[in-house]
Amino acid sequence: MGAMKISYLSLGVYLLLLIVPIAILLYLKLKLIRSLLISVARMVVQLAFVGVYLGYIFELDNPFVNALWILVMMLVANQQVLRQSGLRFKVFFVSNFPAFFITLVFSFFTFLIVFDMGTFFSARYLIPIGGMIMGNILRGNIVSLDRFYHSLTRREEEYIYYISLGASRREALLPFISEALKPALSPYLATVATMGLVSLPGMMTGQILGGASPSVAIQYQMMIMIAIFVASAISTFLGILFSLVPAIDDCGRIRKDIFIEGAAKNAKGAKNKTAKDPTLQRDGKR
Amino acid sequence: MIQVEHLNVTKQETTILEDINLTIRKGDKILLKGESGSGKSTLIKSLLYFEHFTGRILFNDNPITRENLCLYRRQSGYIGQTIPNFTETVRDFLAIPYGFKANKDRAMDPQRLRDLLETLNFDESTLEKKYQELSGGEKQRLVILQMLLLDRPIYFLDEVTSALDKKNITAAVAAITNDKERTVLSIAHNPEWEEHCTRIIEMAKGKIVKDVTAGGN
Repeated sequence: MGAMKISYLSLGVYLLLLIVPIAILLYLKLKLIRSLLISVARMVVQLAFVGVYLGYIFELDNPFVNALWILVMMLVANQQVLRQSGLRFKVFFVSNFPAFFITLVFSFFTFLIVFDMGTFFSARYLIPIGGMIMGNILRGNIVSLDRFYHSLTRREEEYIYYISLGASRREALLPFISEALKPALSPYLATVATMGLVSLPGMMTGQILGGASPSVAIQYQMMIMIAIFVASAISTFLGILFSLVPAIDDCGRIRKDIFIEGAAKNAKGAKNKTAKDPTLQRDGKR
Repeated sequence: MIQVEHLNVTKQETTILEDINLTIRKGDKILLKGESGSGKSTLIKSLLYFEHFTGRILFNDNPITRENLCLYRRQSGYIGQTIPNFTETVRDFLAIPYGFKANKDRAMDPQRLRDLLETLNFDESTLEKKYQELSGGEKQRLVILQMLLLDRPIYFLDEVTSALDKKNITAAVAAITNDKERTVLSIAHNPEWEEHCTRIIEMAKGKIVKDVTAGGN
Protein backbone atom coordinates (compact mmCIF):
# COMPACT_ATOMS: atom_id res chain seq x y z
CA MET A 1 0.00 0.00 0.00
CA GLY A 2 1.49 3.37 -1.04
CA ALA A 3 0.39 6.96 -0.40
CA MET A 4 -2.68 8.08 -2.33
CA LYS A 5 -1.82 10.14 -5.40
CA ILE A 6 -2.69 13.83 -5.26
CA SER A 7 -3.82 15.45 -8.52
CA TYR A 8 -2.09 18.62 -9.72
CA LEU A 9 -5.46 20.37 -9.78
CA SER A 10 -6.21 19.64 -6.13
CA LEU A 11 -2.68 20.67 -5.18
CA GLY A 12 -3.20 23.93 -7.08
CA VAL A 13 -6.47 24.52 -5.26
CA TYR A 14 -4.70 23.79 -1.96
CA LEU A 15 -2.18 26.54 -2.71
CA LEU A 16 -5.11 28.98 -2.79
CA LEU A 17 -5.34 28.55 0.98
CA LEU A 18 -2.46 31.03 1.14
CA ILE A 19 -5.13 33.70 0.79
CA VAL A 20 -5.75 33.28 4.53
CA PRO A 21 -2.24 34.28 5.73
CA ILE A 22 -2.12 36.98 3.04
CA ALA A 23 -5.37 38.43 4.42
CA ILE A 24 -3.94 38.38 7.95
CA LEU A 25 -0.73 40.07 6.76
CA LEU A 26 -2.74 42.71 4.92
CA TYR A 27 -4.90 43.35 7.99
CA LEU A 28 -1.80 43.71 10.21
CA LYS A 29 -0.07 45.81 7.52
CA LEU A 30 2.94 43.51 7.73
CA LYS A 31 5.14 43.91 4.69
CA LEU A 32 5.73 40.20 4.31
CA ILE A 33 3.46 39.39 1.39
CA ARG A 34 6.18 39.76 -1.22
CA SER A 35 8.54 37.52 0.78
CA LEU A 36 5.74 35.00 1.28
CA LEU A 37 4.94 34.83 -2.43
CA ILE A 38 8.62 34.59 -3.38
CA SER A 39 9.19 31.86 -0.79
CA VAL A 40 6.20 29.83 -1.95
CA ALA A 41 7.19 30.25 -5.60
CA ARG A 42 10.73 29.13 -4.75
CA MET A 43 9.39 26.15 -2.83
CA VAL A 44 7.16 25.06 -5.74
CA VAL A 45 9.94 25.39 -8.31
CA GLN A 46 12.60 23.77 -6.11
CA LEU A 47 10.39 20.84 -5.12
CA ALA A 48 9.27 20.34 -8.71
CA PHE A 49 12.92 20.11 -9.76
CA VAL A 50 13.75 17.87 -6.81
CA GLY A 51 10.89 15.57 -7.77
CA VAL A 52 12.32 15.23 -11.26
CA TYR A 53 16.01 14.81 -10.50
CA LEU A 54 15.55 12.68 -7.39
CA GLY A 55 13.72 10.30 -9.69
CA TYR A 56 16.82 10.19 -11.93
CA ILE A 57 19.24 9.94 -9.01
CA PHE A 58 17.28 7.08 -7.43
CA GLU A 59 17.21 5.27 -10.73
CA LEU A 60 20.92 5.86 -11.34
CA ASP A 61 21.87 5.03 -7.72
CA ASN A 62 25.54 5.81 -8.35
CA PRO A 63 27.67 6.48 -5.21
CA PHE A 64 29.55 9.34 -6.92
CA VAL A 65 26.36 11.04 -8.02
CA ASN A 66 24.94 10.59 -4.51
CA ALA A 67 28.06 12.09 -2.96
CA LEU A 68 27.98 14.96 -5.43
CA TRP A 69 24.36 15.63 -4.56
CA ILE A 70 25.17 15.72 -0.83
CA LEU A 71 28.07 18.08 -1.57
CA VAL A 72 25.76 20.44 -3.45
CA MET A 73 23.35 20.33 -0.48
CA MET A 74 26.19 21.27 1.87
CA LEU A 75 27.30 24.18 -0.33
CA VAL A 76 23.77 25.59 -0.53
CA ALA A 77 23.23 25.09 3.21
CA ASN A 78 26.49 26.88 3.98
CA GLN A 79 25.51 29.83 1.82
CA GLN A 80 22.06 29.98 3.46
CA VAL A 81 23.46 29.86 7.00
CA LEU A 82 25.80 32.77 6.35
CA ARG A 83 23.15 34.85 4.57
CA GLN A 84 20.51 34.26 7.25
CA SER A 85 22.87 34.97 10.12
CA GLY A 86 23.98 38.20 8.47
CA LEU A 87 27.60 37.12 8.10
CA ARG A 88 29.82 37.95 5.18
CA PHE A 89 30.11 35.11 2.70
CA LYS A 90 33.70 35.80 1.65
CA VAL A 91 34.92 35.86 5.26
CA PHE A 92 33.22 32.71 6.53
CA PHE A 93 32.50 30.43 3.58
CA VAL A 94 35.73 28.47 3.77
CA SER A 95 35.69 28.17 7.58
CA ASN A 96 32.03 27.20 7.89
CA PHE A 97 31.99 24.53 5.22
CA PRO A 98 34.11 22.00 7.18
CA ALA A 99 31.62 22.26 10.05
CA PHE A 100 28.91 20.88 7.75
CA PHE A 101 31.21 18.41 6.11
CA ILE A 102 32.52 16.88 9.35
CA THR A 103 29.04 16.79 10.90
CA LEU A 104 27.45 15.09 7.93
CA VAL A 105 30.24 12.58 7.37
CA PHE A 106 30.17 11.71 11.09
CA SER A 107 26.37 11.38 11.04
CA PHE A 108 26.48 9.12 7.98
CA PHE A 109 28.93 6.79 9.64
CA THR A 110 26.80 6.60 12.78
CA PHE A 111 23.96 5.27 10.63
CA LEU A 112 26.10 2.24 9.91
CA ILE A 113 25.28 1.14 13.48
CA VAL A 114 21.76 0.37 12.29
CA PHE A 115 22.04 -0.05 8.51
CA ASP A 116 24.46 -2.06 6.44
CA MET A 117 26.69 0.04 4.22
CA GLY A 118 25.08 -0.99 0.93
CA THR A 119 21.62 -0.03 2.11
CA PHE A 120 22.49 3.28 3.73
CA PHE A 121 24.70 4.60 0.94
CA SER A 122 22.04 3.88 -1.67
CA ALA A 123 20.34 7.01 -2.99
CA ARG A 124 16.96 6.08 -1.50
CA TYR A 125 18.36 6.22 2.06
CA LEU A 126 21.34 8.55 1.85
CA ILE A 127 19.70 11.51 0.15
CA PRO A 128 16.45 11.83 2.13
CA ILE A 129 18.17 11.19 5.48
CA GLY A 130 21.05 13.52 4.56
CA GLY A 131 18.55 16.17 3.51
CA MET A 132 16.58 15.81 6.71
CA ILE A 133 19.68 16.20 8.88
CA MET A 134 20.96 19.10 6.81
CA GLY A 135 17.62 20.89 6.90
CA ASN A 136 17.41 20.56 10.65
CA ILE A 137 20.95 21.59 11.53
CA LEU A 138 20.61 24.63 9.29
CA ARG A 139 18.37 26.43 11.77
CA GLY A 140 20.68 25.71 14.71
CA ASN A 141 23.68 27.02 12.80
CA ILE A 142 21.89 30.20 11.80
CA VAL A 143 20.80 30.89 15.39
CA SER A 144 24.17 30.10 16.97
CA LEU A 145 26.29 32.11 14.52
CA ASP A 146 23.88 35.03 14.54
CA ARG A 147 23.71 35.12 18.33
CA PHE A 148 27.44 34.62 18.82
CA TYR A 149 28.68 37.36 16.49
CA HIS A 150 25.99 39.91 17.27
CA SER A 151 26.51 39.37 20.98
CA LEU A 152 30.30 39.48 20.71
CA THR A 153 30.40 42.69 18.69
CA ARG A 154 27.80 44.41 20.88
CA ARG A 155 29.63 43.39 24.01
CA GLU A 156 33.18 43.71 22.68
CA GLU A 157 34.12 45.83 25.70
CA GLU A 158 33.12 42.98 28.01
CA TYR A 159 35.28 40.59 25.99
CA ILE A 160 38.24 42.99 26.21
CA TYR A 161 37.56 43.48 29.92
CA TYR A 162 37.85 39.76 30.64
CA ILE A 163 41.01 39.47 28.56
CA SER A 164 42.48 42.33 30.55
CA LEU A 165 41.55 40.46 33.74
CA GLY A 166 43.83 37.70 32.52
CA ALA A 167 41.47 35.50 30.51
CA SER A 168 42.91 33.72 27.50
CA ARG A 169 41.07 34.20 24.21
CA ARG A 170 39.33 30.87 24.78
CA GLU A 171 38.34 31.76 28.35
CA ALA A 172 36.98 35.14 27.28
CA LEU A 173 34.99 33.65 24.39
CA LEU A 174 33.59 30.59 26.16
CA PRO A 175 30.62 32.39 27.81
CA PHE A 176 29.69 33.88 24.43
CA ILE A 177 29.83 30.42 22.84
CA SER A 178 27.68 28.89 25.61
CA GLU A 179 25.17 31.70 25.27
CA ALA A 180 24.95 31.18 21.52
CA LEU A 181 24.54 27.41 21.73
CA LYS A 182 21.74 27.54 24.29
CA PRO A 183 19.06 29.12 22.05
CA ALA A 184 20.34 27.09 19.09
CA LEU A 185 19.91 23.72 20.79
CA SER A 186 16.93 24.36 23.09
CA PRO A 187 14.27 24.06 20.32
CA TYR A 188 15.57 20.59 19.45
CA LEU A 189 15.28 19.51 23.07
CA ALA A 190 11.72 20.85 23.20
CA THR A 191 10.88 18.97 20.00
CA VAL A 192 12.42 15.75 21.31
CA ALA A 193 10.56 16.09 24.63
CA THR A 194 7.14 16.57 22.99
CA MET A 195 7.64 14.07 20.19
CA GLY A 196 4.59 11.88 19.69
CA LEU A 197 2.66 13.80 22.32
CA VAL A 198 2.36 17.19 20.65
CA SER A 199 3.73 16.50 17.21
CA LEU A 200 3.85 13.61 14.81
CA PRO A 201 6.99 14.37 12.86
CA GLY A 202 7.24 14.50 9.08
CA MET A 203 9.33 11.40 8.59
CA MET A 204 7.03 9.24 10.69
CA THR A 205 3.91 10.64 9.04
CA GLY A 206 5.47 10.10 5.62
CA GLN A 207 6.33 6.51 6.36
CA ILE A 208 2.88 5.73 7.75
CA LEU A 209 1.27 7.36 4.70
CA GLY A 210 3.66 5.35 2.55
CA GLY A 211 2.36 2.12 4.08
CA ALA A 212 4.98 1.32 6.73
CA SER A 213 3.80 -0.03 10.06
CA PRO A 214 3.74 2.52 12.92
CA SER A 215 6.31 0.48 14.89
CA VAL A 216 8.83 0.68 12.03
CA ALA A 217 8.02 4.38 11.56
CA ILE A 218 8.68 4.99 15.26
CA GLN A 219 12.04 3.22 15.15
CA TYR A 220 13.13 5.38 12.22
CA GLN A 221 11.85 8.48 13.96
CA MET A 222 13.79 7.78 17.15
CA MET A 223 16.93 7.18 15.18
CA ILE A 224 16.54 10.33 13.12
CA MET A 225 15.76 12.52 16.15
CA ILE A 226 18.91 11.38 17.91
CA ALA A 227 20.90 11.84 14.70
CA ILE A 228 19.52 15.36 14.28
CA PHE A 229 20.31 16.36 17.86
CA VAL A 230 23.83 14.92 17.73
CA ALA A 231 24.44 16.56 14.36
CA SER A 232 23.07 19.90 15.58
CA ALA A 233 25.29 19.89 18.66
CA ILE A 234 28.36 19.09 16.55
CA SER A 235 27.63 21.51 13.72
CA THR A 236 26.71 24.49 15.92
CA PHE A 237 29.80 24.00 18.07
CA LEU A 238 32.15 23.42 15.14
CA GLY A 239 30.49 26.23 13.18
CA ILE A 240 31.42 28.76 15.85
CA LEU A 241 34.80 27.21 16.53
CA PHE A 242 35.91 27.21 12.89
CA SER A 243 34.49 30.68 12.28
CA LEU A 244 36.85 32.10 14.90
CA VAL A 245 39.78 31.47 12.54
CA PRO A 246 38.89 34.23 10.07
CA ALA A 247 36.94 36.38 12.56
CA ILE A 248 39.45 36.86 15.37
CA ASP A 249 43.17 37.25 14.79
CA ASP A 250 46.12 36.12 16.93
CA CYS A 251 45.94 39.36 18.92
CA GLY A 252 42.29 38.66 19.83
CA ARG A 253 41.03 41.46 17.57
CA ILE A 254 37.59 40.97 16.05
CA ARG A 255 37.45 41.71 12.33
CA LYS A 256 35.33 44.73 11.56
CA ASP A 257 33.94 43.42 8.27
CA ILE A 258 32.25 40.24 9.45
CA PHE A 259 28.67 41.39 8.84
CA ILE A 260 26.86 42.05 5.60
CA GLU A 261 25.90 45.71 5.62
CA GLY A 262 22.31 45.68 6.96
CA ALA A 263 23.21 43.20 9.70
CA ALA A 264 26.12 45.38 10.80
CA LYS A 265 23.80 48.32 11.30
CA ASN A 266 21.44 46.18 13.38
CA ALA A 267 24.31 44.98 15.55
CA LYS A 268 25.54 48.54 16.07
CA GLY A 269 22.07 49.91 16.77
CA ALA A 270 21.40 47.36 19.46
CA LYS A 271 24.73 48.00 21.20
CA ASN A 272 23.36 50.17 23.96
CA LYS A 273 20.45 47.87 24.77
CA THR A 274 22.71 44.94 25.52
CA ALA A 275 23.49 45.58 29.16
CA LYS A 276 19.80 45.41 29.99
CA ASP A 277 19.01 42.41 27.80
CA PRO A 278 18.25 39.56 30.21
CA THR A 279 18.80 36.95 27.51
CA LEU A 280 22.42 37.99 27.30
CA GLN A 281 23.30 37.34 30.92
CA ARG A 282 26.69 35.82 31.68
CA ASP A 283 26.38 32.53 33.46
CA GLY A 284 28.01 32.77 36.85
CA LYS A 285 29.62 29.36 36.64
CA ARG A 286 32.63 29.68 34.42
CA MET B 1 56.85 53.63 29.03
CA ILE B 2 54.31 53.51 26.15
CA GLN B 3 55.16 55.21 22.90
CA VAL B 4 52.67 55.63 20.10
CA GLU B 5 54.06 56.47 16.67
CA HIS B 6 51.96 57.56 13.69
CA LEU B 7 48.88 55.64 14.76
CA ASN B 8 46.03 55.60 12.25
CA VAL B 9 42.70 53.80 12.50
CA THR B 10 40.24 53.63 9.62
CA LYS B 11 36.85 51.94 9.82
CA GLN B 12 34.69 51.47 6.73
CA GLU B 13 36.68 54.12 4.87
CA THR B 14 36.23 56.65 7.70
CA THR B 15 39.31 57.91 9.50
CA ILE B 16 38.84 57.45 13.26
CA LEU B 17 42.38 58.22 14.41
CA GLU B 18 44.84 60.21 12.35
CA ASP B 19 48.57 60.24 12.92
CA ILE B 20 48.55 59.97 16.70
CA ASN B 21 51.95 60.42 18.34
CA LEU B 22 52.01 60.09 22.08
CA THR B 23 54.37 59.19 24.91
CA ILE B 24 52.88 57.89 28.13
CA ARG B 25 55.36 57.98 30.98
CA LYS B 26 55.35 55.71 34.01
CA GLY B 27 53.15 57.21 36.73
CA ASP B 28 51.29 59.55 34.35
CA LYS B 29 47.70 60.19 35.35
CA ILE B 30 46.15 61.22 32.07
CA LEU B 31 42.65 62.54 31.56
CA LEU B 32 41.52 62.01 27.97
CA LYS B 33 38.91 64.56 26.93
CA GLY B 34 37.01 65.34 23.77
CA GLU B 35 33.60 65.31 22.22
CA SER B 36 31.81 62.08 21.50
CA GLY B 37 33.17 60.56 18.29
CA SER B 38 36.56 62.24 18.63
CA GLY B 39 38.32 58.85 18.83
CA LYS B 40 39.01 58.54 22.57
CA SER B 41 37.66 55.00 23.02
CA THR B 42 39.29 53.84 19.80
CA LEU B 43 42.63 55.21 21.04
CA ILE B 44 42.34 53.22 24.28
CA LYS B 45 41.37 50.04 22.41
CA SER B 46 44.26 50.61 20.01
CA LEU B 47 46.66 50.96 22.93
CA LEU B 48 45.50 47.50 24.04
CA TYR B 49 45.84 46.15 20.51
CA PHE B 50 42.13 45.53 20.04
CA GLU B 51 41.86 47.79 17.00
CA HIS B 52 43.27 47.24 13.55
CA PHE B 53 45.68 50.11 13.00
CA THR B 54 48.73 51.26 11.15
CA GLY B 55 51.67 52.75 13.03
CA ARG B 56 53.65 51.48 15.96
CA ILE B 57 53.21 51.04 19.70
CA LEU B 58 56.26 50.49 21.88
CA PHE B 59 56.21 49.29 25.47
CA ASN B 60 59.40 50.00 27.47
CA ASP B 61 61.13 50.81 24.16
CA ASN B 62 60.21 47.45 22.60
CA PRO B 63 57.71 47.23 19.77
CA ILE B 64 54.68 45.18 20.77
CA THR B 65 54.56 41.95 18.81
CA ARG B 66 52.32 38.89 18.87
CA GLU B 67 54.90 37.24 21.11
CA ASN B 68 54.99 39.87 23.87
CA LEU B 69 51.38 41.06 23.53
CA CYS B 70 50.09 38.80 26.31
CA LEU B 71 52.73 40.10 28.73
CA TYR B 72 51.90 43.69 27.81
CA ARG B 73 48.18 43.09 28.28
CA ARG B 74 48.81 41.51 31.67
CA GLN B 75 50.47 44.72 32.78
CA SER B 76 47.32 46.60 31.83
CA GLY B 77 43.79 46.76 33.13
CA TYR B 78 40.91 47.92 30.96
CA ILE B 79 37.41 48.92 31.97
CA GLY B 80 34.96 49.91 29.23
CA GLN B 81 31.60 51.63 29.27
CA THR B 82 29.62 48.37 29.21
CA ILE B 83 29.06 46.88 32.64
CA PRO B 84 29.59 43.10 32.47
CA ASN B 85 26.65 40.77 32.95
CA PHE B 86 26.86 38.15 35.65
CA THR B 87 24.31 35.91 37.37
CA GLU B 88 25.88 34.86 40.68
CA THR B 89 26.93 36.68 43.87
CA VAL B 90 29.27 39.66 44.20
CA ARG B 91 31.88 37.41 45.83
CA ASP B 92 31.74 35.06 42.82
CA PHE B 93 32.03 38.02 40.49
CA LEU B 94 35.16 39.26 42.26
CA ALA B 95 36.64 35.74 42.07
CA ILE B 96 36.34 35.53 38.25
CA PRO B 97 39.93 36.59 37.43
CA TYR B 98 41.38 33.97 39.78
CA GLY B 99 39.64 31.23 37.79
CA PHE B 100 41.61 32.14 34.68
CA LYS B 101 44.64 30.01 33.89
CA ALA B 102 46.96 33.05 33.82
CA ASN B 103 46.04 33.95 37.43
CA LYS B 104 45.98 30.39 38.80
CA ASP B 105 48.95 31.06 41.09
CA ARG B 106 47.33 34.20 42.51
CA ALA B 107 44.71 34.44 45.21
CA MET B 108 42.47 37.28 46.24
CA ASP B 109 44.12 39.24 49.06
CA PRO B 110 41.45 39.40 51.83
CA GLN B 111 43.02 42.45 53.49
CA ARG B 112 43.18 44.34 50.21
CA LEU B 113 39.60 43.34 49.51
CA ARG B 114 38.46 44.72 52.87
CA ASP B 115 40.40 47.95 52.30
CA LEU B 116 38.98 48.45 48.83
CA LEU B 117 35.43 47.68 49.98
CA GLU B 118 35.81 50.41 52.57
CA THR B 119 37.49 52.88 50.18
CA LEU B 120 34.77 52.40 47.58
CA ASN B 121 31.98 52.77 50.17
CA PHE B 122 30.81 49.16 50.20
CA ASP B 123 29.53 47.27 53.16
CA GLU B 124 31.09 43.83 53.61
CA SER B 125 27.62 42.27 53.43
CA THR B 126 27.53 43.33 49.75
CA LEU B 127 29.74 40.33 48.98
CA GLU B 128 26.85 37.94 49.56
CA LYS B 129 24.36 39.89 47.46
CA LYS B 130 23.36 38.84 43.97
CA TYR B 131 25.35 40.86 41.44
CA GLN B 132 22.22 41.42 39.37
CA GLU B 133 20.45 43.06 42.30
CA LEU B 134 23.03 45.86 42.51
CA SER B 135 22.34 49.27 40.99
CA GLY B 136 24.25 50.48 37.93
CA GLY B 137 26.47 52.67 40.11
CA GLU B 138 27.23 49.83 42.51
CA LYS B 139 28.15 47.55 39.61
CA GLN B 140 30.43 50.22 38.22
CA ARG B 141 32.24 50.57 41.57
CA LEU B 142 32.46 46.80 41.83
CA VAL B 143 34.12 46.52 38.42
CA ILE B 144 36.66 49.14 39.53
CA LEU B 145 37.21 47.15 42.74
CA GLN B 146 37.71 43.92 40.78
CA MET B 147 40.30 45.58 38.57
CA LEU B 148 42.09 47.28 41.49
CA LEU B 149 42.35 43.95 43.30
CA LEU B 150 44.59 42.76 40.47
CA ASP B 151 46.84 45.77 41.07
CA ARG B 152 47.94 46.33 37.47
CA PRO B 153 50.67 48.93 36.79
CA ILE B 154 48.68 50.48 33.91
CA TYR B 155 44.98 51.24 33.73
CA PHE B 156 43.00 52.20 30.65
CA LEU B 157 39.58 53.42 31.72
CA ASP B 158 36.64 54.47 29.57
CA GLU B 159 33.98 56.47 31.46
CA VAL B 160 34.28 54.29 34.56
CA THR B 161 32.61 56.78 36.90
CA SER B 162 29.75 57.85 34.61
CA ALA B 163 27.02 56.28 36.78
CA LEU B 164 28.41 57.42 40.18
CA ASP B 165 27.36 60.24 42.49
CA LYS B 166 29.85 62.90 43.59
CA LYS B 167 30.87 61.14 46.80
CA ASN B 168 31.58 57.86 45.04
CA ILE B 169 33.35 59.53 42.10
CA THR B 170 35.75 61.19 44.57
CA ALA B 171 36.34 57.85 46.31
CA ALA B 172 36.84 55.91 43.06
CA VAL B 173 39.15 58.50 41.46
CA ALA B 174 41.25 58.64 44.63
CA ALA B 175 41.47 54.83 44.81
CA ILE B 176 42.57 54.62 41.17
CA THR B 177 45.08 57.48 41.19
CA ASN B 178 46.56 57.24 44.71
CA ASP B 179 49.49 55.02 43.67
CA LYS B 180 52.33 57.22 42.36
CA GLU B 181 53.84 54.39 40.32
CA ARG B 182 50.61 53.49 38.58
CA THR B 183 49.94 54.79 35.08
CA VAL B 184 46.35 55.79 34.33
CA LEU B 185 44.73 56.88 31.10
CA SER B 186 41.10 57.73 31.73
CA ILE B 187 38.29 59.04 29.57
CA ALA B 188 35.97 61.02 31.84
CA HIS B 189 33.87 64.13 32.05
CA ASN B 190 33.87 64.63 35.82
CA PRO B 191 35.82 67.53 37.40
CA GLU B 192 37.11 65.11 40.08
CA TRP B 193 39.32 63.50 37.43
CA GLU B 194 40.79 66.87 36.45
CA GLU B 195 41.79 67.42 40.10
CA HIS B 196 43.62 64.11 40.36
CA CYS B 197 45.17 63.88 36.89
CA THR B 198 48.63 65.20 36.12
CA ARG B 199 48.11 65.54 32.41
CA ILE B 200 45.16 66.41 30.20
CA ILE B 201 44.96 65.31 26.58
CA GLU B 202 42.20 66.67 24.40
CA MET B 203 41.09 65.04 21.18
CA ALA B 204 39.02 66.29 18.26
CA LYS B 205 38.20 64.58 14.97
CA GLY B 206 40.65 61.75 15.57
CA LYS B 207 43.60 63.98 16.43
CA ILE B 208 45.27 65.13 19.63
CA VAL B 209 44.67 68.87 19.77
CA LYS B 210 45.94 69.61 23.26
CA ASP B 211 48.39 67.87 25.61
CA VAL B 212 48.92 69.73 28.87
CA THR B 213 50.95 68.50 31.83
CA ALA B 214 50.21 70.00 35.25
CA GLY B 215 52.88 72.54 36.09
CA GLY B 216 54.07 72.59 32.48
CA ASN B 217 52.47 73.04 29.04
